[in-house]
Amino acid sequence: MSLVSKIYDSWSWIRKEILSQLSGKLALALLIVLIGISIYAALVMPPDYTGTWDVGSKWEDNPHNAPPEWASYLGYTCVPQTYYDLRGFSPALSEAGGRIILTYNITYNLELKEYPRGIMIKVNVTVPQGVRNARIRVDVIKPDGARLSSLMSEYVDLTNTSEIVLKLYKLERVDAVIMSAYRELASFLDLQDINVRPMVYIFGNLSYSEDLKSVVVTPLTGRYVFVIVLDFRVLGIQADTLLRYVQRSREFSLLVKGTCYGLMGTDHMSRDLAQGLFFGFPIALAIGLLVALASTAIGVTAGLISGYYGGFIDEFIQRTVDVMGSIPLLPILILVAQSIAKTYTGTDKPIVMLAAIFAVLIVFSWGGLAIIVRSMTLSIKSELYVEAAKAVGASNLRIISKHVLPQIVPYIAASLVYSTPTAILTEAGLSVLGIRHGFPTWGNILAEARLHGSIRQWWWILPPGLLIAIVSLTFVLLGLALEKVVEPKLRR
Amino acid sequence: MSEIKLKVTNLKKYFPIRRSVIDVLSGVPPRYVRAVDGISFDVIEGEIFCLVGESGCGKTTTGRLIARLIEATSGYSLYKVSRNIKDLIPREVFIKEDYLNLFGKLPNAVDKSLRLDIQIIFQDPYGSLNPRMTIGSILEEPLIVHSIGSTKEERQEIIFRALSEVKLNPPEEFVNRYPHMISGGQRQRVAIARAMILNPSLVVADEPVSMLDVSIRAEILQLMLDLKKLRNLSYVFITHDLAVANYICGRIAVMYLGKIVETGPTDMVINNPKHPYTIALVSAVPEPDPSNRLRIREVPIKGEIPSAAAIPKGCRLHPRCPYAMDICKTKEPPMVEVEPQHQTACWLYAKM
Repeated sequence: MSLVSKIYDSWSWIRKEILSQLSGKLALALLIVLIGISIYAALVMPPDYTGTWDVGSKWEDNPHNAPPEWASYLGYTCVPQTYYDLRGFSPALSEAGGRIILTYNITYNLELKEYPRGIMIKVNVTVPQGVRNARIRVDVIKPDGARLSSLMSEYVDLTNTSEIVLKLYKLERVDAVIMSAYRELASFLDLQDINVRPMVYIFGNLSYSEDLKSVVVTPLTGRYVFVIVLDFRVLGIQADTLLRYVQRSREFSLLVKGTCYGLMGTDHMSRDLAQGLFFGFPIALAIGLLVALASTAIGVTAGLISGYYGGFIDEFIQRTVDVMGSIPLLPILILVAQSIAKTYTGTDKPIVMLAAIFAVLIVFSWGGLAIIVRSMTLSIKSELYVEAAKAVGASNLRIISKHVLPQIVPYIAASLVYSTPTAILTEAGLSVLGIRHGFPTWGNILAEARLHGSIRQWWWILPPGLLIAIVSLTFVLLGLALEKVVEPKLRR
Repeated sequence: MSEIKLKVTNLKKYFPIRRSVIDVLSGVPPRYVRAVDGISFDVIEGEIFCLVGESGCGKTTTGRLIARLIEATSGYSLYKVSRNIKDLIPREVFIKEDYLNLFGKLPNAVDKSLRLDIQIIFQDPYGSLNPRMTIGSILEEPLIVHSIGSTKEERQEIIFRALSEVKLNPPEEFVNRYPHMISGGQRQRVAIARAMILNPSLVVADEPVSMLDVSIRAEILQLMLDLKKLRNLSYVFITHDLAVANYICGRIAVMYLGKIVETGPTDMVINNPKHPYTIALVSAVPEPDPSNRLRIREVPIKGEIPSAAAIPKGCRLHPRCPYAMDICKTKEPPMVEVEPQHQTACWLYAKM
């Protein structure tokens, strides 16, 4: 019988045993789903994904702290994300005294009683030689007739370059803009509040409160007009030519951010949580399996050597395990992670920190298995058939690999399965404890939710927690099923 | 007269008793279980030499020492290497002619070669076969270890021959079975086949039939006798069963607490036992013929065999012996010849 068919035989036996139990069926189904998602995520994961997770500019198009889109079924008001590609719009043209002015009037209909999360204008255009400078300005005309003049504006000097690359999202002096638009309420406006939540004032209906002593803001639905003015100072350039250039720009767009985003919402940095969770699958499985495999390999090797050879090496390994077992893991982990966080400065710091954390985890987690494998080895070593193998002259290596190891393989498998969620849980626990490596793991998402979120942002807290729980559950169920395979006494 | 196959002189095996830290610190001398405490015997070529005694007398330890599964504490032996492996062993290892000392330090290569020549059959056929291996792979292991048979087919051939030699026919039906799929007697046949497959010249049989049903003991013993005749084997046969010993043994040595108390040809020892312990053993054997019932007087040996860690001073049997004299409590009896080739260690026969 060849090795392959032997392995296949034992595998099909194990599979049959596992499938005969409910927990086994459930575990296998979950595992297949997990592995499937992980493989798919690993395949489609952009190569620089882990590096860009923490980069804010990548996520600036998204609203921050936005619940998922399906939250509308839960009573959330979801203003959709509205995107206008301004290259296809025809502006009003005007030329006067060496200036060319393009005016875009964009109509935005706010139908739901909620405030959009932001306004973003992006420009990336090459203008012809002869354009000296440019100014871009945005006014907003609200449904109630108020005009918010120069809500955003930017000046670009083009004497040395012909590239305009702009992102307009900052609101300059928004309090003054609002005040001049609502002169009659000016003395009652809370300037600080305007600066803290400008979108509320931009997209809101301002009116006196009942006691006429303050201003209340309610969402204002209706037709908003965004007046985007491009004001170029030019030398010998036709307006048509310039317009063509603008229409052929790489990007010229207006984005009114909605209040909901995607499948899983966003966090405080507007990051798409769906992405973080999705790409967290292979990362979680990889770190779980990596630590489990490494610690199991070390534990089995140490246990075998300890049990089989005995003597000084046995004593040495067992005392090492004792010492390791009496050192508290958590303080060591915190110490190591903190010292790396403080001293290491490379760009791959998150990965280095994560690697260090797992190195510590591996170093401290093989001991239990080593003790079990040692005691199993001791009992197998004294079996008569091992003596018989010695009598025919079999080497130690042969006895270990042919007589001892095959018997402990099922236990190794069970231990592997049980220790897999440990690494994932520990990583999550550490992140929540404040050891933040920044690597986009589920634990990291949870940790940031703890730091920057609140219980109202359930879409940020619950999904990573649930996923960690589900992965752990999968392996624990699998372990339960395997336990019955390796320990026939547990079978009914 | 045949040559001597194995001559053992003053063989000892002491197992240290684990001491506590306090013992070590307070200087309590290390204590030992004296499992085998200075025994000497000869095994003649082509003979079945039996070691008989009750549990704990050290007979199994002696067998394991000869099979070199454990190291002797001290002792000397002359072992005649068979012609098959003589060329594998460098000349300087031999002490004289074809003889070498089994209990000395031997180079690894010599050790491995000797494993071809000395094999052991264990008492328990349920434990001596790995339950996770097929009969075929159990028998293949010695061949792989000693690189016998270059191809799988060749090894298969040798395995088939070995299986039919121990009357497991047809062999192809057995090679793919696991030990739990065959009976105890068949298992012991497999164990015998494993011992024989390397073509040894000395086989240590450690109570090979005592765990088998009475109905198949004779078959297995007959098989061992047949194999001996076929291959000119020598056996060191260990048993506690005098009936079996009577059936199979040429010469016999009765052991008590790590010592040989009586030795000689089987007929003499069993029909005319001299040592009180041997007498007790023989008289304990159920006698099918009522007229023989009183032929050997029962010796009322009392109590249990003492621990080998606390061996009584003087003659080891004296606390249990009905004939114990004063000298028995202080001095160990020497081996004396009571009739030709028949020796015993008892003060009843020794001159003081």
